Amino acid sequence: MKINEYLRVKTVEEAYHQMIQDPIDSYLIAGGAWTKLTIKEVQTLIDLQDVVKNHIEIKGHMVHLGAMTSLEQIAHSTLLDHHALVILKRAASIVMAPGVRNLATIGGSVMGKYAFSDIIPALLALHAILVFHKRGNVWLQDFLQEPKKDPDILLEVLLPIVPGVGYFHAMKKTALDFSIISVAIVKTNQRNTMVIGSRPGIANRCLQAEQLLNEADIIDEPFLEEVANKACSEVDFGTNVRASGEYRKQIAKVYVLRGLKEVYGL
Amino acid sequence: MKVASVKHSSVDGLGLMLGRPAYTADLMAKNSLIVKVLRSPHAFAKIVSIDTSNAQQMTGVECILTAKDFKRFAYTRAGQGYPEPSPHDKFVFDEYVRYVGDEVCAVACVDEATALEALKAIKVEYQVLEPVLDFEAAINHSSIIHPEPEIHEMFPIGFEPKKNIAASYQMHVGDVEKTLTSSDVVVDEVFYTHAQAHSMMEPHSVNTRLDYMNRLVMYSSTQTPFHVRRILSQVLTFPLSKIRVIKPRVGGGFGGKQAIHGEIICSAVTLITKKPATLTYTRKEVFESSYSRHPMRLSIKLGATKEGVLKAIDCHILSDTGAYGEHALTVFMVAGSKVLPLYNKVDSVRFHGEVVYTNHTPAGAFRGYGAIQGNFALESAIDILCKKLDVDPIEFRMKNMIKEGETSPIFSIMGEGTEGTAMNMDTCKLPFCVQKGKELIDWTKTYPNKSVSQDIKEGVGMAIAMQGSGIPYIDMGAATIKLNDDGFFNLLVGATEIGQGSDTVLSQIAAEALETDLSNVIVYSSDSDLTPFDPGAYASSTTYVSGNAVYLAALSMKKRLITEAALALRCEEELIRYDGIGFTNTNTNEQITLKQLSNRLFYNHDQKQLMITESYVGHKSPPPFMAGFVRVQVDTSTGEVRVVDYVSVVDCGTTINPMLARGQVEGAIIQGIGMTLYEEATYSSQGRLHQNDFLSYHIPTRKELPHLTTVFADSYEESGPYGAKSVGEIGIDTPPAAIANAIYNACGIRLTTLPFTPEKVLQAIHSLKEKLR
Amino acid sequence: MKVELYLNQKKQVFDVLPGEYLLDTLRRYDILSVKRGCEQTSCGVCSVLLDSDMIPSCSVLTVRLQGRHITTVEGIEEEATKIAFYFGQEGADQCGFCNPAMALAVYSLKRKNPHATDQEIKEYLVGNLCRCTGYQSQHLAIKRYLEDPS
Repeated sequence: MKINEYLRVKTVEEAYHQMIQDPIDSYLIAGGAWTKLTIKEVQTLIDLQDVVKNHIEIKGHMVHLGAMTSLEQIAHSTLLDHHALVILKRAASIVMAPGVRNLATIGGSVMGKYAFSDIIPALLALHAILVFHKRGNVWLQDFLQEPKKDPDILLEVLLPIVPGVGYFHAMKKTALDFSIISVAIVKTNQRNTMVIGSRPGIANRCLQAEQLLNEADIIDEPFLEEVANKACSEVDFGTNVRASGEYRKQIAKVYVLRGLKEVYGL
Repeated sequence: MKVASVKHSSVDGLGLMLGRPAYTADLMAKNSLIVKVLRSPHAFAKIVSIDTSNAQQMTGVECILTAKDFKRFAYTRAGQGYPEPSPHDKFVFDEYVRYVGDEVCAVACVDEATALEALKAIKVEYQVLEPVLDFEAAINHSSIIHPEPEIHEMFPIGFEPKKNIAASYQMHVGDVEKTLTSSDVVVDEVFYTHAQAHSMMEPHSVNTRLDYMNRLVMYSSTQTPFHVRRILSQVLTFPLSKIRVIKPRVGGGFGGKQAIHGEIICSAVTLITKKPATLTYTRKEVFESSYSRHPMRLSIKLGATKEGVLKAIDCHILSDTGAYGEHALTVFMVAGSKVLPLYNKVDSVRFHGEVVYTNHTPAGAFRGYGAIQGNFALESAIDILCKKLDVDPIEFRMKNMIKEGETSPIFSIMGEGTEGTAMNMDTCKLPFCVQKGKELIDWTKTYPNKSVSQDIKEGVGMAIAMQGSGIPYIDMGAATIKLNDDGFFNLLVGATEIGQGSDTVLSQIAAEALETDLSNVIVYSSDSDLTPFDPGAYASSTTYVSGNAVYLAALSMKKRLITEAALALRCEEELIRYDGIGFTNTNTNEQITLKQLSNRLFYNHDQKQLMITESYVGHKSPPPFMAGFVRVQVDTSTGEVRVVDYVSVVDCGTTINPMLARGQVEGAIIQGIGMTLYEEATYSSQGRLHQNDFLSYHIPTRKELPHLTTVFADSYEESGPYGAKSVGEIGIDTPPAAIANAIYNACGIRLTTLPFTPEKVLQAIHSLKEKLR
Repeated sequence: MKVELYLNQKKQVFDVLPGEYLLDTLRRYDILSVKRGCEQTSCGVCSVLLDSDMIPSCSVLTVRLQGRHITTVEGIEEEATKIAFYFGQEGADQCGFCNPAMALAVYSLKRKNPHATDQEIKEYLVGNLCRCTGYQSQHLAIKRYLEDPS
């Protein structure tokens, strides 16, 4: 990489100040796992390693993940062994290999808005909240859909702790592949959340299917099949080198159904 | 046997694991110029102009090479013996570029950053031409990929560049049409294979310098150091005597490093600038700009009696050699010559086809070398035939396959680009391999399938295969053994260790013949100044051909030692008894140790250096055989296929090192599984290779690893060193057909196009359901 | 820029451009056990330990590592010798290009999870690709090393 200036900031405000001065040619680096693949030249590289937290803690009914928490930390955290939170562990533990996961951070995974991300579908299904330096709290779901905003710095990812169960599956050709499709489902007492990722567009919630499920009285296999069909008809699937849209749709349905059966114990 | 046929740790494993500098890039001279190649963004274009003036003026740019800097000379990079059976259709740089990634020109700079900037500063004007991207439409296409007048074949190989044909061939025994017409049952199927990438961990690398004798000294990660030296000398018109090629440790080859890659450009930089230079391919260049396996369309017709006797095999192949014709003819011929003899009892057999040029990344040598493509087609077709006949595929093979003592007319008709060599199968333990494999996979319990769950079906499948052991009457290997004071030996071989363990295995052969310990044999391989000739690591030849040379050299050395011992002990040679440690005059019981004798020869009496060279050229190429059995699970809802078990029962003669032989088989099986299920090469409509890194090209990881069982048949090939045949390639041949057959047995779909991606599998399952509806 | 870090327990100053990756720095300073395979985090042959964690050195900027500990196979020679012994015993070394990084990975696995199951071994080493061996012999060797009490 070609970097003209490297800045290891001492405060978040320092990083923010630097970034708004030159928003085009400044670049924030968290874990840096993918910078080599994405960035070739940068004027100022702003290193956040000293100012953004890299640990997981539980405060009240929320899990707080510092944005610099590595995916490998998440994959092994016992704090995430509760309820549907395990799907984040599962998603983190299949991102490439431990070496990359030691670099890759949850903050980088979110801010990159990578369409192939396994982390984003899990976070979406868990109703993650993003905590920014300036903007404060933003729902991940809103963040993914909004147009590009002014520069800001992600500090934390919050996950509400709600009793329930979860399912996560990402289909890959080999363990080091990017997902061809990923499915995240969370069932709590209040509501159900279903997300399909790697469509190959960025992860989407299946809101109509969720509603079907939320309003249902009797849940049996034919009904879950209907829900799975709905889920796969309301999101778009596209074709790229890895797989066709048609194939993605077919297997998304299979894995959504398998997930629903698992969370409903059928 | 004490040393051969014994499990020994590799002689080099420890040092390599400790990270001692050993590979080409570890050994470049400090401050070497960094060489980078400007590569074509177009699949087919004529270069109108190259403007290097801006780059020339940049600080740190030492040298820019274009076509003007080289004598116009058509050659082949194939890295084969001379004259090559590959067309001479390559120039160092040409006025045409023929695939995305083809060489345009090169820069040599003080550092990599400058080199990359210099590449950007070079302006090339292209006249873009219509590329040939469909190999089935290549023949007589309006675009002629090689219009240049200087290109030629070295002997007739069916070279017709005006028709985009790099090579063609046909042979037949009996009247195949007639036999097919009179057959009770006929199978007629078409199979497609794809351009697997070698994906060795070490990228192609070379570095050069001029030494104090003003000679060009090169380190190269090559499988063929002696061929590299010869080709380099021819292309650069630089005396052979002034080139030294050293092959240090190579980080995997699998055929991908048989050819010339950066050697010529890097050498030219050093000869022009007089400075050391280095050129290491990026991973993208390895994928896009080295070469891959030949994709093929294989059309197979089989004819059999209703009693299950195979009568005819008719095979037509169309092979895609890409932009250049390296190994075009020979890979294609091996798809017949090392496959068709498996069923030697047929009345008639025909093999014919064409190898065509396209604007794809060139194809070249790759472990299996055509046999894997041919095996996929034939062994799939055999199972299809068995289904039609309603006979058990194992019984059918037991009845029709080649057996010990038998032969096939194909051996004498088809060689590597020339006529072949007649031979009988002095060792062929196929019946044992099939029986044992059937037992180990627990065939009868599963065949054809069983349900694991509602969605998951399990099936078993199998295939048999053969390969060769070197190229008879063409490729010669030599070995030198030198006695040192203190009584240890240097073993100097041209044979090319590339990770397959040849340094260890050849040392074992030498130690066995010299009746000494492995630690007493110090091996040094592949240095064109210091070691005797060897063609290199290809064609499954090292253990058999080079191993025979080592064996002969060791025997000669032992004989010389006995002569010297007889002199020292003042008796007739016949009275000397040698036990590996010393010599005894059996009349007087007077003794002298090997150590004493050596020191005597160096310092005290009858002083002389004992150093013996022997060479060996094969008179036949005894095939190793194997049976591969596989258990797969197919998720019929998603099309995902998981290999659960793979059983390999191999007849490779004696295993000189059973552990390393097992490693050759296991590694090849996983590569074969990778080719069958995960690895895929596709092109954009403009001819750009989609998969040019490990993020998109998926070689198996250890999480895809099935349980592997590898068993060796008790077999002794008289013509091989201590009974050995080859084992380097045979392992890769069976997975495509065995897995195709197992998937068929599991869920009734017949896949004929590699690789079997989940999407293709699911599509086939859906079509089958449609058909059954 | 000057970056001071601990390479195999020894404090050392490296003079780097801010855009230089650790792999390039190490090889420039003659730490040649760290291999260049893909430069895209996906093959594992450039792995080193950062403090106690395995990372692909091809994708980490050296300048960010001020004060950190880097371990290459040169720093664990005694353990790597043991690992090499078991690899040798199982015929698990072929071309050897992936082996120095493999030794580091196996060493760090033993420190983090000495009783790793078959599945955990595969999970931990999944990013260390090998095209030669087919993995099974390596797997057996790694298990034996993990069981080695010394």
